Amino acid sequence: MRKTLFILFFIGLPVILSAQVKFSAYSDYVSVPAGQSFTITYSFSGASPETFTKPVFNGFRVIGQQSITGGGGFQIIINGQVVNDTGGDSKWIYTLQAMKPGEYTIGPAKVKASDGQIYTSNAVSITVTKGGSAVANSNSQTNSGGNSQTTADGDEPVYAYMEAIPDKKVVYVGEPVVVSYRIYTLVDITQYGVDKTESMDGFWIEDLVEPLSKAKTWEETINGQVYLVGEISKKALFPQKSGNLTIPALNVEAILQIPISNGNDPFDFFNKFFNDPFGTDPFQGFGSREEERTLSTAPIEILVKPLPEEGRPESFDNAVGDFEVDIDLSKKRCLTGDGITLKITVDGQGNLMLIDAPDLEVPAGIKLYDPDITDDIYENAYGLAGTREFEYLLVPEVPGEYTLGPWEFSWFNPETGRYETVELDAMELKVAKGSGSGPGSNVSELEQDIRYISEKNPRKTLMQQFVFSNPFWLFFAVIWLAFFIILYFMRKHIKLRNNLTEFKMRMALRVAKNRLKKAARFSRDGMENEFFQELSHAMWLFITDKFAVPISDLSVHNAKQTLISNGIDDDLANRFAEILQACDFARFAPVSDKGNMKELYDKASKLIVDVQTGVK
Amino acid sequence: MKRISLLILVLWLPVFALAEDNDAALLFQQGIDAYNNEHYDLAVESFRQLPALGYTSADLYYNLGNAYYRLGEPANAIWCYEKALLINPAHDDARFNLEFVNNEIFAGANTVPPSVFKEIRAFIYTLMSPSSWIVLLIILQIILPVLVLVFFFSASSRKRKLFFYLSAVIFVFYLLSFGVSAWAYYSLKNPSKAVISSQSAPVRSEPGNGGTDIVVVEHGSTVHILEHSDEWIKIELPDGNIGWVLAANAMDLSMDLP
Repeated sequence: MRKTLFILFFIGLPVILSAQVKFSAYSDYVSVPAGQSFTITYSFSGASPETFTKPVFNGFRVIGQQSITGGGGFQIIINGQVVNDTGGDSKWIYTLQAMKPGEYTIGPAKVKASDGQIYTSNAVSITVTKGGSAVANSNSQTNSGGNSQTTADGDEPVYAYMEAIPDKKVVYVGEPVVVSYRIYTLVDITQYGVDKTESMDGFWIEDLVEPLSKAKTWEETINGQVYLVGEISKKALFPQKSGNLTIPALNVEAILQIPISNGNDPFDFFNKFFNDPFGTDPFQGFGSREEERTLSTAPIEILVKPLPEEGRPESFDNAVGDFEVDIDLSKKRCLTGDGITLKITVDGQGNLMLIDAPDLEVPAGIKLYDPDITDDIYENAYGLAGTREFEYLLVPEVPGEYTLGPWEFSWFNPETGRYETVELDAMELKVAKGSGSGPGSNVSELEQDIRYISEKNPRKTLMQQFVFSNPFWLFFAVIWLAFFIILYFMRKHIKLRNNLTEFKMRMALRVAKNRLKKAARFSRDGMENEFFQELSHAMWLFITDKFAVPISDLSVHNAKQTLISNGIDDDLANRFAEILQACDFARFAPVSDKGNMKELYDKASKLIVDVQTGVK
Repeated sequence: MKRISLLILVLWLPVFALAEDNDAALLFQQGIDAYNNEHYDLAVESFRQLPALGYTSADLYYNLGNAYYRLGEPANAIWCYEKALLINPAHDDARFNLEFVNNEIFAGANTVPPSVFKEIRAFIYTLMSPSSWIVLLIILQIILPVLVLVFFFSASSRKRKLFFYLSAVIFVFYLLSFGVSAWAYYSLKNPSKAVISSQSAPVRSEPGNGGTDIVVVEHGSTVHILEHSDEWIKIELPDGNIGWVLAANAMDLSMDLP
């Protein structure tokens, strides 16, 4: 009655105003077998109700409810059709389904009327039997307004209800239960929507029917009534644990097109005439009203058996169903560092989504990476079928000939109740050394561990005990003391060859060259006397520095002897003496001879070079 | 020179006499046998008795560390390896195992990268064991004065030149080996490291109850000791953090056993 009513016109009928307020409850049956549905009607007349509080329906499931609120005994014509005269009554009608046998009392409902008073209805007793047939309520009240039910069973038929139908109730862990959710209806359903998805603990759920696809429909005859059945949802539930698991109820909100039954309504003739003049319904909603109802299924208990421990293969890893397994290696020979794929394909019917990648052991020297998983799974009537592919990447790191496998794959077949194992054939793989950038070393890191203990006998750390100990310092002191004592006693011997001597020896050539250059300048300027003096000086200094001869020991006469005694050969010593004598001679002789100067200079230069290279 | 070498020999005699200790050799062998038979607790027990007898070699601590590692006590193992490396920084196996165990517990932990100076120092230390450095020092101590004397007494300039350079090079090595020996001796006597023994020790900003917890240092972490107070030690963590921990939570490397 949510639909907006278009009141077209009123027919002025005598209005019977009942001053007396009446609120009663009655059921159509006094006794029903469990599972059967019946209706309870709360009827309120004599005042206009504001709020209705329904009783608690303990032990029953509400499968339908409707309410009719009347207004003062007018006849209302909706969409050109006379709607039943409610006679001023307001009605709340519940369709209940009995669940368990027993005696039940359905408590009173309350109504708050517009005048503020609260009215309470009577309670209704009902007996739910285990079986048998229903006993109709003999004093099922006819409504004063003439809205009595006059159908064969004295009840409005169950227009629509829902059921959840599992394909089996006893399964193994991992074996799917396919549950079909169906709406049974006698009337058109313009719209429906799943109320909310209950959480299903312990199940892995796969929808077998796409949620937005059109429901599959067919007809079924139930209790002599032809119902249209719509399968609105189909799910494969894979139980993940053993024990008694419950598939919770599913609630569906549906909008039903309920035909208006007028019974012995005085306008029934018109009603019928308008309703079905040519056996078709020319207008939607003609002769029917829309009503929203909640349809629910009963929860389903599923007994989940654990997988048997007995005969469980070691390679078993959650696969339940019926499968075929294939293995394929992309290459038979390769180079180190190459990537090779190993494909394991599981094909069949069962919990493919839940199959874990098989643990493969590969020989040391080959690196195995976690597999990529590719699924090609579709739904069929029995759950899921298709293929799941595990693609492993292998990277050989060490050259050699390897045997991969054999491996095993096993699953549990719920049909036979036994485990099945398939052996995956061993495969040969030849690996040659690759030149690529891959990890081509001959030694690959396998398992790492600490190094082994030392078996060398422990020694006291003698050296470390000795260092900086008193004996150590004594040892040092003794050596350095001995060193300095030796230096002290030999100091005279050492002094002869002190550092100054060494320095002068090395510098002799440079000094001599500088002096020769100076002499050459004098020669150019024609200063003969100075030239010979400088040349003589250079020669003297060169000898004394070079051979560490004290200058006081030298004269023109003994120069030759001194040189010879210092290891210079006779020829050089002679030439030296000659140059010195020539210089002395030229200095004190008045003769000017430029050619002589040049000759003497060249001789001196050559001699110095010869001495320098000849000295040992 | 003969007299000097004789002197060395005389000084060493008592030390050699001590070296023969059958009990210790027996204990050590027992430890090895227990280790090989995977009775690691027995191995630990045997090895642990040796330092009290005066045997504090790097190999001993290395073996003890291995036994602790096998027993599943990585903090003690780390302490032993650190001790072995303190005694002999050139003990390759100890260094390898220390890194291995550290990697196992602190894979990917932040550490401060060592400075270039520290890397050079570590390179020199790991060239030879301190014992070898000391032997080198003693040899150079004998060679160096001889070379200097030869230099002084040689007449020809070529000889003088040769011995001058030779002495200079030997002198550099002499200083180096003296320095390394001195540093090894110093760090052995004053170890500045400790290994955290408690499961997780809070590092506080101040010693005592004042201050706040900065970080929590993990079991087995090796830390540098910067300062000692009564109950607390100031430490530097591997990641560079500085704070105070209870001394009871850390195993000082100056002890004989963890």
